[in-house]
Amino acid sequence: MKTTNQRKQKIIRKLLGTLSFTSALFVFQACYGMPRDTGIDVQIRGTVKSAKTNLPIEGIKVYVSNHEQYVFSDGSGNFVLYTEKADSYLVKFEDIDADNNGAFATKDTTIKNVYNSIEVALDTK
Amino acid sequence: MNYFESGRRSFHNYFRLNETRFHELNYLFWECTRRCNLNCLHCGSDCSKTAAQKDMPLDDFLKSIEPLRSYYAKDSITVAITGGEPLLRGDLDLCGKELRKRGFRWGIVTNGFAYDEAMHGKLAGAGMGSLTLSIDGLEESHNWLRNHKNSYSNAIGALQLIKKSKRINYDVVTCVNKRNITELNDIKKYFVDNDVKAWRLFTISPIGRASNNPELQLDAAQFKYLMEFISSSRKEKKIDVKFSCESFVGPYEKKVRDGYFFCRAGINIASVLIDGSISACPNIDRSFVQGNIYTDDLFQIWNQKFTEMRDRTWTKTGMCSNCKEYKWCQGGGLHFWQGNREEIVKCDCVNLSAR
Repeated sequence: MKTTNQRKQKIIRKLLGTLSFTSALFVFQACYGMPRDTGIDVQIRGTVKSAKTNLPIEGIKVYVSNHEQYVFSDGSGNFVLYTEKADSYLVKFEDIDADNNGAFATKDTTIKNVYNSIEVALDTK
Repeated sequence: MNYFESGRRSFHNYFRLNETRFHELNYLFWECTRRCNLNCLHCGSDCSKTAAQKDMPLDDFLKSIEPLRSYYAKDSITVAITGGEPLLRGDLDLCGKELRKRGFRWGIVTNGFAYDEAMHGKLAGAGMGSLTLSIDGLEESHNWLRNHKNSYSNAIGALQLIKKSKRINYDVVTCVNKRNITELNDIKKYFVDNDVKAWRLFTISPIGRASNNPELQLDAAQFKYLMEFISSSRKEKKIDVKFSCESFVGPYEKKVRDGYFFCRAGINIASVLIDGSISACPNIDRSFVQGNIYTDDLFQIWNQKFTEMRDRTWTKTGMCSNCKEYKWCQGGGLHFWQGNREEIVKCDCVNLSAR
């Protein structure tokens, strides 16, 4: 929660940074650290279930087509994936652990609204 | 120094004062492991493959940062996961995911040795937004410093993956030493040819394992050459190259970096070390430890302690006591001060004025 004092100090910061031509310092980097993360991404979350049994499936690889990021669904079939912001997302669900946790067919689904959790049912192979 | 430059520096001093008074925590190091898969000659942490200290459990760290959530806005703090080598933690993606869930951004500092395609996708999927990769020269000199024959090829493999990512804000760092200083132009050419966007150059501080190896420290002429190299490379604008914020560099201030020197240790930067110690940057002397997450509240320690980082008048001693540059430098980087606080370990400004 920002106090009036904090707001005042932020204004002074911007003013002094501009006057010293060091406004770049607002987004600093520790000398032995990595750059700060100021990028924009979105969170896609949901649950993977078996279409046949309606039970959650663990170990399904979830990723957005043509993007590097991926996650696996957990023991409750839940997943949370961070990816770059876009207008829509072609999310792929792929069973890559052979017969562990059952064998399921790959499925794609396109989503536009990332604010809602998605539920996906996979058919057995 | 002309009046204009002097005025800019004075405003920067007021800026620094305001930042110090405000001391908003923006950057939190987490030394999550002391294990490392390399045995680098210059390691400031003196890490090893089998560290005596166990990795810090994720839950312990999460519990310690919980109070920060009430005081700082979502995504305003970046957690720098460091080590040791953070990629050795099997639960690194889980660590990242839990941090994002709690409103913290995160990134890693890595040697890239264990960074393959699977690791890249997994960490990116867990919301990693930034990364620093070490490449310390051309193949032979990198492998010498990193003490492993495959370290260069693995780091280059990591670079190829990272630079393609649209999401990850990254840079490459090079520790400049007596062996690789003659290669700087070739390294730059490689990075420019490979579309690397940001390159940060360090010198090696005489701390940790590096303190006993004279081949790692630049002499005065080499340091001046490094400043000239960075300054002229910045004018070319082929790559965003800069000197790290490790020290004040007198006449090269603003020529080798985007801004003036400002050591933010304890002002905007804190760290949680492997044993739970709360400090500023992890590479500063352990005598600067301010508390411990297992006995203290991190937010209270941040707000009520860290006084010797926020009032650095104690650094006006030894060679700093009569230095004309002190008002701009204010004792340099905190990592150049050891337990007795009697003398700065190294002064680059003195290096630059040596003939």
